[in-house]
Amino acid sequence: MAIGNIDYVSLAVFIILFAVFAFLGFYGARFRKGDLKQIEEWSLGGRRLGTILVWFLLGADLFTAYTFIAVPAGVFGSGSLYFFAVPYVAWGFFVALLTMPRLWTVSRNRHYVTAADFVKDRFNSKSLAMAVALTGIVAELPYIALQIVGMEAVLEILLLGLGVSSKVVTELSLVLAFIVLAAFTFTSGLRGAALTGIFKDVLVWLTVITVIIAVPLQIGGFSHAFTVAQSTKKIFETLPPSLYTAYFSLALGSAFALYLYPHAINGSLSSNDKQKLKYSTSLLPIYGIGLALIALFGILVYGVPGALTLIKHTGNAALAVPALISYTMPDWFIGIALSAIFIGGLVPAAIMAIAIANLFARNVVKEINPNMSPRTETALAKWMSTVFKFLALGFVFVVPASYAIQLQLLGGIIISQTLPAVFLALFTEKLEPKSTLAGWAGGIITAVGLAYYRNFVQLHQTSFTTSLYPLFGHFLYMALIALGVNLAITLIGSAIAYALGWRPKSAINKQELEVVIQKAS
Amino acid sequence: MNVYYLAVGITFLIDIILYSVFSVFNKVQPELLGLPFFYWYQILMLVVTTVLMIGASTIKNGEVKGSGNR
Repeated sequence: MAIGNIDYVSLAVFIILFAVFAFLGFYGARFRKGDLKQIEEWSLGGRRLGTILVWFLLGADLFTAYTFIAVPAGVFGSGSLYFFAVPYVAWGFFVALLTMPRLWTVSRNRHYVTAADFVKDRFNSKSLAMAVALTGIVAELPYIALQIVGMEAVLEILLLGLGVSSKVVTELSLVLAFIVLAAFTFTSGLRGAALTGIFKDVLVWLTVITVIIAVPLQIGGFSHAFTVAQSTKKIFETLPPSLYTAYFSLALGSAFALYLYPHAINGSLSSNDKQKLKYSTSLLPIYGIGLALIALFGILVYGVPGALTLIKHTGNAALAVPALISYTMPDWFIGIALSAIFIGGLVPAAIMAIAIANLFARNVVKEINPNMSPRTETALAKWMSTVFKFLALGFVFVVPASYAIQLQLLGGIIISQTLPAVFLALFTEKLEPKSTLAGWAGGIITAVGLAYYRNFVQLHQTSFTTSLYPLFGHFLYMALIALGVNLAITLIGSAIAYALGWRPKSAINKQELEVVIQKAS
Repeated sequence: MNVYYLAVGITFLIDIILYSVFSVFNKVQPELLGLPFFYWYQILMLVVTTVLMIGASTIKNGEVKGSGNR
């Protein structure tokens, strides 16, 4: 079956661009050379990346298959509600401006590589640090799986368009891409991800700007697409007032979660200067404009009958963006656009795998076996980054794609529960470790309990479909409700401990959070 | 409390308000190139967000400059 304008020219362009991507990944090892046997060099690029490079890296890191596949699919299916992704990114970067400069400073002073490193010293608590590390790993794995779902959607369209309708070919291509990715992550670490990140950004911007201009011109403007969409269901032109609290709380809750994800923290710590980190972060909402435009692709699809038929035929909304592009753009450009989405998933997957490999090696294994040498730690992190990638890949092959998206939603709710231990602790030492751990546990139990109760008991769903819970008649994002429980336990527990004579024993002094202390050499 | 965090806090609050006044922006008209106001207002606010954030980031004297005890 022919799909739009896909032909062998598209495939050739796609393969050439993938080859360039692979070259840049391996070349990264030579870029701003450092001793890659050290964990700070391998996983943080030696903390030597400047304003522009960190901007590209964080842009490439934070705007993922979630942006290219999940958000447009959400807008396609649920309409204006999914545009919450726009205030979400705006607020997410404000949260980053509040927290990342401090985390960066204390990490520079005390050679931290992960958030759990900080938690361990701040609370003088190994169990809390391990809870934060494990939460990071558990929440991040489905996020990597989501990237793979996005890449799968691209390959599916490309192969279908060429008349190859075989799941085996799709899976083999994915395995091949992952071997290349794992090999260069292993050799180049974060440097490889930073260089390929620039390449990804160029391709993504080229695609977004071209499509957002070309498609409306072709189909008779946005108004045509909106008219068709609105005629199916009245949820596209504006937001139904019953969803105001849902919109607001999804945006705020997701904004809190964004910089608790290990990959976001990893990217921020790679900056070489606190002031430069602030500027790179401030420029990231510009990247959010790209996200907003891609979200609109989910509505533009309604103006392209061929793409609409394909999505309805396959029942897979994840195909919205690839299908839109395939039915409207010339063959060579389809190659560029599809590789942009494909690489758009690969680069974050690499950084995510690096970040959770660090957590696993430093904050889980090293806690159990403290005698591990720094060299062994780095080697372990490198191998684990490979293991985690293939674990996520295996997961996507075994379970339906929709599960990965749902687990990623659940991951967002769970990762929010590390907010008191990581973000609040940057500003106060008065949180008592056991209460914070109890708050974390209470938050996670509430989150999972609400998700289960709402989806399976109340709505009788067979899978996890909504992360909204009606509280006093208003829909609220479960992450915020769980965070409320978490904060209540943490704060009340700490107050009681304080009254009983507990006093903070933080190993970190205030100055270490605020200024880079030059060591006398 | 130092000036930098105060500035980020205030600009964050302004931004939250800009994205919460649904009665102002949850409308179809005025359209821009066929795009309902609901959408283009929020995209435009990303530009405003960037300006607010850069403004807050330029405040450098926010942090204590080595005035600690040691």
